[in-house]
Amino acid sequence: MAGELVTLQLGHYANFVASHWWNLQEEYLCNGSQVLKHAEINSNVLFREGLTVHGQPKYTPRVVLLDLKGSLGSLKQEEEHQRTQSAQLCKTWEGPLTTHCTEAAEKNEYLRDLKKHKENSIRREVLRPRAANDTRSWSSMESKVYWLEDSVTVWSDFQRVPLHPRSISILKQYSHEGESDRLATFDLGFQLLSHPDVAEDFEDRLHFFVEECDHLQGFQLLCDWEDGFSGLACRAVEILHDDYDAKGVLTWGLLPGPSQTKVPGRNFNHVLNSALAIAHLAESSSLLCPLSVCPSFKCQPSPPLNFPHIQYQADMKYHSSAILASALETSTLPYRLHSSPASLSQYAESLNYCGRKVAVTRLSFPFSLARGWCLPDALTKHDPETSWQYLCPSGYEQNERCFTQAVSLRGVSAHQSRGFVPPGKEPMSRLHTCESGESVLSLYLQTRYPNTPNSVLLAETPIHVKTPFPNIFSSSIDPNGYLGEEKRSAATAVRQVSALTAVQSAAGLHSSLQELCAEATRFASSMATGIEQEDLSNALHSLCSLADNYKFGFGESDLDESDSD
Amino acid sequence: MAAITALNPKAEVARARAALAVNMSAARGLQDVLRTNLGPKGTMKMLVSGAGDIKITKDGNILLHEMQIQHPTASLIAKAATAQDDITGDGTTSSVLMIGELLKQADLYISEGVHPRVLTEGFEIAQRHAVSVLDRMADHREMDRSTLSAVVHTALQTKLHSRLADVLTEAIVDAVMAVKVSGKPLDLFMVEIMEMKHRSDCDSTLIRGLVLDHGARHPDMKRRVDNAYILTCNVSLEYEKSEVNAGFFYKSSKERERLVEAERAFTTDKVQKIIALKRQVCKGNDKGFVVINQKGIDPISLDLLAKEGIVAIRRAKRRNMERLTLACGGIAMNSVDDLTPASLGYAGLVYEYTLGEEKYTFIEECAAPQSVTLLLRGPNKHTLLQLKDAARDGLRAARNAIEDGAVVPGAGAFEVAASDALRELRNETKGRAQLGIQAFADAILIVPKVLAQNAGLEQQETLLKLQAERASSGRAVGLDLDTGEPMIPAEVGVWDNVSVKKQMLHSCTVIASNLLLVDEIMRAGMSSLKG
Ligand SMILES: Nc1ncnc2c1ncn2[C@@H]1O[C@H](COP(=O)(O)OP(=O)(O)O)[C@@H](O)[C@H]1O
Ligand SMILES: [Mg+2]
Repeated sequence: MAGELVTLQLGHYANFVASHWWNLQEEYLCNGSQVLKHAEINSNVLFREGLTVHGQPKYTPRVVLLDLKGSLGSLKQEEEHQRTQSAQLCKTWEGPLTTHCTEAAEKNEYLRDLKKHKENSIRREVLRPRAANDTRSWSSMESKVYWLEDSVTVWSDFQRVPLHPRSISILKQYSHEGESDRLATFDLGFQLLSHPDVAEDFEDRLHFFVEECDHLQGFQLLCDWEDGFSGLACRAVEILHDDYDAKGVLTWGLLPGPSQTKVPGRNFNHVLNSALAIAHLAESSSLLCPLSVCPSFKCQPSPPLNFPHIQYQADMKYHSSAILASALETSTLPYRLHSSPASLSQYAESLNYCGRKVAVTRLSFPFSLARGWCLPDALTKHDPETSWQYLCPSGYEQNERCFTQAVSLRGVSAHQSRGFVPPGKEPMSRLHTCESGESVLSLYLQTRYPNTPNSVLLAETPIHVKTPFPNIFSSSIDPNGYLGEEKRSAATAVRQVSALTAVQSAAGLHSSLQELCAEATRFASSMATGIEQEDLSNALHSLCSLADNYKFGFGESDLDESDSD
Repeated sequence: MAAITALNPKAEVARARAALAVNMSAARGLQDVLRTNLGPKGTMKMLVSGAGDIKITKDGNILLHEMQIQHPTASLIAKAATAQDDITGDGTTSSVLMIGELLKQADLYISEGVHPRVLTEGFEIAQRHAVSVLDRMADHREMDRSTLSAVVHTALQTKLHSRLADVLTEAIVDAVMAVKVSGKPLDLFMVEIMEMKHRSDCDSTLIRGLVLDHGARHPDMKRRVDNAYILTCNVSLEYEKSEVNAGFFYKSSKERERLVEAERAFTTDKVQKIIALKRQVCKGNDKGFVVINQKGIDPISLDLLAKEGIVAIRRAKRRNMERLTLACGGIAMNSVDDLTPASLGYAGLVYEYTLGEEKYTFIEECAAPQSVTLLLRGPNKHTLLQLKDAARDGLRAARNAIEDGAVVPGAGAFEVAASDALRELRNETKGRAQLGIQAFADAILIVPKVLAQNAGLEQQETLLKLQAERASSGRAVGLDLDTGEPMIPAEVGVWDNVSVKKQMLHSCTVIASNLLLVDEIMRAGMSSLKG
């Protein structure tokens, strides 16, 4: 019984990441206009099924997303209606009516092609409803290589999966761009979602998606931490608790890469917002995972992460969010498969013992496999130091202790997953003697992390990195995601890759949270935050004690205790 | 910087002038956008976004929210105006016009060398005097049906055409009368506004009960129940791990199954308790039984309830829980352990209404409902939004009137009277403060002027008529927008809220003064913008 999840996306960068994430999942739902049922991944967990006007099933993510005025670009919020006369639209006024048009927002090449394709397939659906799945224009679009770096400014410039009209909520009180009307601080965000009208609209949207769930598991929350969405997210979780207590809430706090403005590093507000967000969200979420390609909470700029087979621009949201989305698409598999043993809450509980609500994500992307290798081959060659990157925050030494971890590996087919030992020959390693892919991975982890409880998951489905996923793979990766012998030509794109993630309750968090706390305390005393002094010091205090939960040796015997009662 | 200023004392004045000019043009820009909105003859605006989305509004507050305001001064004015709406629910357009006009009048004096401080001192005196005029003009009276109708109608006719305004006024006043408890402040929370798309024209009705925008989730549950017991509760009826199953993740599938089974039995037990109560109260009669639960109900529980003839609605909104018991009676139960017949409420009729993918549940014919629903119908989203905004305006106007215990003549009557009184005050005042009072007296006339202009009338000529009529009759004289002639608002029933005007006088004076004292505001303004 896999229950449903509702996803919240709060903030512009959160929407970038989520857009990529939904796009990565489209492959499981349909092929052009043909609806599929995926064998391994259970799309009902994150998607709802509705009907098109022509009675065809239509999947949209079960999501409520918030962003600010001016952030939608060319995305139309309302569904296309047949050219209605303006008089028809306004039945309430008989006096004069004037029309004021903003300059039309251009769609980029990709969105234009997508629109054309959709119109064609609707036309076919109307003409020949039974034979609606002519995939010609689809596949021609699939093989085209797009370079969208210059034409993506907002997340909707590459949103491929259609969203339900109830999903998009634009907050009119603050502007996405410009100098004035910025939602800059934690406090502003918290106040905004406390406004009765804003809160009511938010609750109503949430209610629409929740009410139809037969077995609601809980909520996934993606939120920005640098700006006022930090505070808005905290208020959002309070609302979730008021309305749906006892449901799990898994939160990802997102920090974009180094900023594109001239000011290097993050400003004071960013640090303080993140600190307050962690302090509050760690308390109210089941599990809290910071995610960023720029591995520092602190003010000093830090070099972005390097992935061996990826060439990306860390300061470009379109790129960095694609990497984070790949991590999400992999690390969330434990509660998204048809065969999933656990719910989101149980997954979170496996990682949050002793108040250690914060966890870090490690990503190997693409996970290096060459044609003909088996998993044991790949793992023996896997170099965690250079390729298994901590997505946030920094301050780890290799093999540093972690308390528990959940590891997911995807894109390894069943026949690849175990080693083959030719009769009469010595196995190449102990890994090659394991009976199943899971035990290969477990054994690998036990050697790297002795005494750490692991849960491992292996999925065959790779990540489908089709357009509009950016072309960030080096030419050594072939179209099927393998390390190639020849260089891939620029005219062909990578279609799919494997990935390895670990979500860890890691001891390294002790020092990074402490540092963040110290830095935030320093700023808090020197600037106006709009927050009551007492609330502020309470928050910073709970951040410090959160850091203490990760002290080496803290609560070590707790795992056995909680098992026995 | 200080050194240069000392050498050239004119520099400071010049700098202030330049900054003031910037503020002025920002204020004028906003004023130009909003001026055509004002009053019953104003213009409806259709905004088309870059992506082709449409927004239709005549409400100054909504328009300000839709605009991308980049200029900090304009943004400050917009914030003050929207704060006006947050506090009183009305008067945004007038505020923006008034701030713009105060600055314009002030500019005439400043260009002749008057220091801004002199003017702001005069503004302050004028504002206090205008408030006393307002208090004198306020008509204190019993807020009976007819007065409330007049106030609500005055607010609505600035947003809706007259037939619609009439119908909605009726519904709003009925709603207010239903939830009003004498001696207590009016709780607008007890009036739910529900929108419903409908093929036909616009319509609004008052439902003496509640409308939920969702329905029963089981195919066998009845779509209509008469004479229904209502159980309002907040109890999870879905399989849910109630305790923390630490280590669940690491347990074997057998162990997991056992846990799940135990949990299932726990849930079924709760459902059985509800069924037992239903059997008890419905035995030997034809009464119905409806469960409205704030928490979830999973398919197995729904099935058990459906077999028993119970209609169950899950995930009722939190804000509707209190409304439910106020509408139907009974007690909202947090547990099924102490259910008694006394915890049940009652409704004469519960039925489901389906509209495409959307479902609604009507809970009607409640005995003495203290919570009601305004049901708005319209052919499309835009129309519904306007109806909803108008309904809120109307409700706020009614509440203000009840709280004020008084109303003030509209259609420009107050502004004309205040302007007259301020001119008298100016004549009695000695010294420089005269100038600010004069500027204020002229600025406040912007409201009747723009009302006239939007009705296609000649501004100065119309104003002179009003002032003459006022001088000769000594009464509160407003403008009949259809004839262009003076009229007596008290006789026609054009009433505005006292608190709206008071708030407006106050906030416009503060903002205009701040913008005039540029240097000070530049600093204060920037920090308040940063938040
Ligand atoms: N029937 C009427 N005749 C003349 N003026 C009216 C009438 N009804 C309302 N008004 C005036 O319209 C003004 C309010 O217009 P409105 O568009 O609601 O602007 P605001 O946003 O400032 O409230 C008030 O000054 C009110 O007195
Ligand atoms: Mg008004």
